[in-house]
Amino acid sequence: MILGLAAILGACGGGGAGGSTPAETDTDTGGAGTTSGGPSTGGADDSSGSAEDGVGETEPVACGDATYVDVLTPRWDDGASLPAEVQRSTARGEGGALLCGAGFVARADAGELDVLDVPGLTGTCTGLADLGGGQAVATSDAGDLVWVDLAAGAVLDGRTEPHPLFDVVAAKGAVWLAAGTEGVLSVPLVEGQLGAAQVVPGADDARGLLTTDAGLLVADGYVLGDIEDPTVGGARYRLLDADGGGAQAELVEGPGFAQRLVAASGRIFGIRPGHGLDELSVSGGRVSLASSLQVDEGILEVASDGDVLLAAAGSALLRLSTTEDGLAWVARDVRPDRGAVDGAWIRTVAHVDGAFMAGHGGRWAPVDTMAAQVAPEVSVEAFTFTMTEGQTEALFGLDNLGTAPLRVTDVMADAPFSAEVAADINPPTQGCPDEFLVPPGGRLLFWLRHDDSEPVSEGTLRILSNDPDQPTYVASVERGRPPAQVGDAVEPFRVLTVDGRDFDSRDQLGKVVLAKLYNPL
Amino acid sequence: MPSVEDEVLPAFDPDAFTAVAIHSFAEGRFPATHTQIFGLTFPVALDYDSEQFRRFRLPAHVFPLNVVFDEQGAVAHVGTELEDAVAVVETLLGG
Repeated sequence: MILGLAAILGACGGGGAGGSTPAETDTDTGGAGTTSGGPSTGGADDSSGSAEDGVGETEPVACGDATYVDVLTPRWDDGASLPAEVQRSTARGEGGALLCGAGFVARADAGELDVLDVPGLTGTCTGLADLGGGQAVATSDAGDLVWVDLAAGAVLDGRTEPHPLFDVVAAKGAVWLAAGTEGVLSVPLVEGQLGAAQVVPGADDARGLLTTDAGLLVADGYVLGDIEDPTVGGARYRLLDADGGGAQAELVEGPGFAQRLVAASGRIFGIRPGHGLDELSVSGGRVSLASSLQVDEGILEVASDGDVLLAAAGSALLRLSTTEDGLAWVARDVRPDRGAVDGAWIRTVAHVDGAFMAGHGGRWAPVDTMAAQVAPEVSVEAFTFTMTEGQTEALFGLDNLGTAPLRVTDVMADAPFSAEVAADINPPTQGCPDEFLVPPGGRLLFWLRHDDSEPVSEGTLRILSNDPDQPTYVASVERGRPPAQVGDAVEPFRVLTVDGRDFDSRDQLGKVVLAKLYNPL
Repeated sequence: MPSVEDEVLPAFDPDAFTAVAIHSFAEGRFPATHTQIFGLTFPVALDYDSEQFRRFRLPAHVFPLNVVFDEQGAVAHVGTELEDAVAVVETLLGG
């Protein structure tokens, strides 16, 4: 959906941008752009893309710093603080939201926060079911299952299953658990106690659950694929008879594995981390695919308000939408700490009392969204641009993943680094010497240089553009950092797995670990 | 990756040894597909900024990179050949 197009002001000569016109423009020329005489010495690495990917030949465009509306604005500083990372959330039927993380379950309602310490909830909180009346059941990937009463400030019951639990939903006086390869388990809730678990047949690798009028919908992992035949296998969604009649319907669709199911605004969404988002339809006893959107990030959860979708993707918050043509990508906001070991993951989002909320580390914060607009979107290959020891020059690229021309007005780096657009490959717009236009889907190459005054350096790279989300895109630069040697203590690290779990090197002490690193930039 | 799943992990006590695949950058399609096609059960993680690769990189080598940490959390091996890494694991575990 493209909204709010306006006439462009003034016109430059050729070298224009492809794609759409800006939603709004003004006549400022923006910051001082730099131009480059091009490569002078060797040592460039990581060059990718091509000049053909850059400025296209389309209609004339305006000089100046065309501005667009920022349609996605998380307000992390306005949020409430929780005792630990917010890992799951759900909107309560009675208003407000339920939240959980390692060691706690909380109720957030109109600025008030009730936090209950739950020591029996360890690992990563993976599921949260609202029972009403302030009661909830939470699960964790450590197999923990806890029933809490937030109104009474009490843990009613809890236990640890001998396998991970990935999700929980409540219905008919029981909770159903997604227990991975153990399938779906039904646990009755009786007089404040969790009953014995019974297998609900029909699931092979239950990761996500959703109750529907037609039965229990399960994000059921995947059908094993065939590396020689990409048509074999894929993510599997199954509709189970909650009364034990087994699988009633099955949909195997697309690569990856089915991890989560979310119902919002009358729609059903299935999440395939690393592949994207599916809109599903359940009717007539069948499960079918209404639409699918490829999203590279590992989506962990989505929330929606009508056509507006918000997705938590670990390192980023994504603004998506539903359109007449299906699901569509709108904008992305990368978390500010960029992967620090104790950094704040964005794991969960919810639409609560008319507003979007998101977990950002230990914060539960509002997120402002606006209707989809055309806009440019800066994307770079890495948060950190690396030069090896002795390297004085390297060529990197930035991409425009948006739907409007990106106008880059400067690329600069802290001394002893310097940066400049590779103007011989990507010339400035004719008549607009301070601007480098990148059409939607295009790439701009730039040089990162080092004056060789010191062997090891760190600094900051800044890309100034008309990207409304990030008008100054900040990345790190480093040169000559020595790699770890045998005998060095491993610097602690924490990474998120493709199915949304943590791998923390600090949890592995006492074990020998083989880390297989692959597909580096 | 299938070798780690089918040959390396079963060869050692899971209480004493674990494996993790770390895919550089946030693009998750590749590792998610690997997880599916090869039926991987060990963690396959996304390294959003390639930080781990930069930390352990070897001159003149790109990937894959096999790194072994010992029980005390020290780097015991960095190399490109899986067999070499497995030999270090065997030594560390007294095999």
